[in-house]
Amino acid sequence: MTQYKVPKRIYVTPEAKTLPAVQHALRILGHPPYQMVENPMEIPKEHQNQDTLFVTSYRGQTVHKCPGSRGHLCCNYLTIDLYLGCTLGCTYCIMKSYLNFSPLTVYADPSPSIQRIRSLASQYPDKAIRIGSGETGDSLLLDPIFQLSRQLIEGVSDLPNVYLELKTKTTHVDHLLDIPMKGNALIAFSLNAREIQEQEEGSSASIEERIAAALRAAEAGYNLAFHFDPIVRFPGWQESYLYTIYRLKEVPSDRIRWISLGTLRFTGALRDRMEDRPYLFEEFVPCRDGKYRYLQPIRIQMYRWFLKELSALTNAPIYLCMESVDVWKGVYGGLPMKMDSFRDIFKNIPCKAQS
Amino acid sequence: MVEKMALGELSGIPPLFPFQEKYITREELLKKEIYPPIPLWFRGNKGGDRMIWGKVLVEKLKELKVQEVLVRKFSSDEITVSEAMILWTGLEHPNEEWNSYRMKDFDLLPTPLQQLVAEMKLDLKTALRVRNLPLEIIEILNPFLETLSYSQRRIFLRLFFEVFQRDLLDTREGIALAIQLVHSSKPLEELYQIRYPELHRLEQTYHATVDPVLKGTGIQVSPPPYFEGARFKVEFYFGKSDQLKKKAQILQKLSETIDPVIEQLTHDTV
Repeated sequence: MTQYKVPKRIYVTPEAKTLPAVQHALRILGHPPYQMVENPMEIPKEHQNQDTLFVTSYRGQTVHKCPGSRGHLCCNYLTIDLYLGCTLGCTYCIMKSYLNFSPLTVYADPSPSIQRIRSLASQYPDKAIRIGSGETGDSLLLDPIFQLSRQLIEGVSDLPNVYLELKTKTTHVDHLLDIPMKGNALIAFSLNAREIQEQEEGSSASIEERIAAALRAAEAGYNLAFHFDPIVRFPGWQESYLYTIYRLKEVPSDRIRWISLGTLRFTGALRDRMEDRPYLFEEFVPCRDGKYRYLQPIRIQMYRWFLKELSALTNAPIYLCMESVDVWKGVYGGLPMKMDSFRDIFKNIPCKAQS
Repeated sequence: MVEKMALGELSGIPPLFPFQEKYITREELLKKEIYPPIPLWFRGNKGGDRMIWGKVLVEKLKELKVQEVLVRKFSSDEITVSEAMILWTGLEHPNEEWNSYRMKDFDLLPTPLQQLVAEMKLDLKTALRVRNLPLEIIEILNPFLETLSYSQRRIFLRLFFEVFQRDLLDTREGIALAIQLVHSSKPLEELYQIRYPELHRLEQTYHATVDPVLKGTGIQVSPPPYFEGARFKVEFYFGKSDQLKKKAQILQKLSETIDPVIEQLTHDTV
């Protein structure tokens, strides 16, 4: 089952037209008409939305550091942009707020990113390089059409210190199952309470479907990661999340490489642009990075609960995403850099802008 | 925080993005300051303020001889380039479409809210957000709203509407809440407590522990804002060593009882 919306219109830049990924996509989509543009500014205003697909080759920096958040601990994750934007329609999504007025963009040439990852891997052979394509869009939503992840996986599969993570809320893994050399690629799934998935995560796959997709990926030889993010507090949240955790037990625990936890957060400016959803009537307070989060004692309580429940399931590191020193101390009794299980994850990878 | 800035000063601030927006509000609205504050991004030693959007608006305001302009400053710690982009793209509409959109929004407001906006006592955004409050409730609140400052009025209305929605109040219950609040000695504080009960409980726990020990001592102990973090601040004045000794004794007494409370306030809840 596919979760992507077929784009209403397609714009392609000249240099991207002949890329294999673009040719493949046009074939899959049944050779739809498309228009050539030199840059996204040429796309008419009325088409500047997520019903429009804009396909281009990559321009600019290929590998970024996860921007992190002031006063909060960052896991030093690296990101690459393949897909910019997402049509799943999660109500809490930051991207939804600012990409509503931009076309869904595909950077259809992953080779510069692959070169950059290879260069970082040889520069830091003793460090685990965790890199993902799910920062600016769902890694796999459009991937059955463009097959960019296949190129990425194959392009870095021989690098023992690179952990390529493809993060999704879809079930789109089947096109990746037959790749013979997977290296350390991981298929990662965002997970949530079933109620939140049903009410707040638009056209994403159900929790059961995601777990089933994770099983298929594991059977094909992939390692897995799971992200409980954003964790939302609502009446009965524990029972509801327990259901998801219970379903997670179906996955072979030795295939889980890591699990991250992050409670709901948003900037004040973005709050103004979000719909009035019931979860926003909880108590949120401004934190040091300017983002609003649940009260610290409540977050700690929630994280402790997750940690207890998930620790019974796996020995994989379970870490916090964008949390403060005090929350780390409250949940784990210490900071990740001083804990064996997190040292590799939280090790800094210098990644300056390329000239 | 929204503040005013001299137009001359604003004119000299370069735009953050190289492309130019076309958004201009209608002249009569501009004169009433009915436009979203112009967002500025402060990049610290990387180059001072940059204007996220509003360059065209500033040019128009210059023509209208406006002296001061509403701005909202964000620091680079508070907002990233991507988030600045959000602010920009959110307003990047073709001129006429955007203006008519805003005017349509204004027309959607019930008369008392329209009046508050027209009299510059409330921003359009807040008015739009709370516009579904039943008219009877707004009418009960209105005389009280007049006594508040601009920012208090915004906060009060937003909080009230959030409680109204959160607690699924019907008109009758909303009216009862409005009457309760306008007859309260501290309506805004009471509304805060209703909207943020857990935060209020933490504050009460804190004061119940600290106030009896510190009352009348001239020592002030402040918890971290919103109990986010774990650093408490102590402030006091002294002029002689015996005064300092006395303060130290009081703090010593506080230190003997405060650990479980700190733990509860910052790390755990009941």
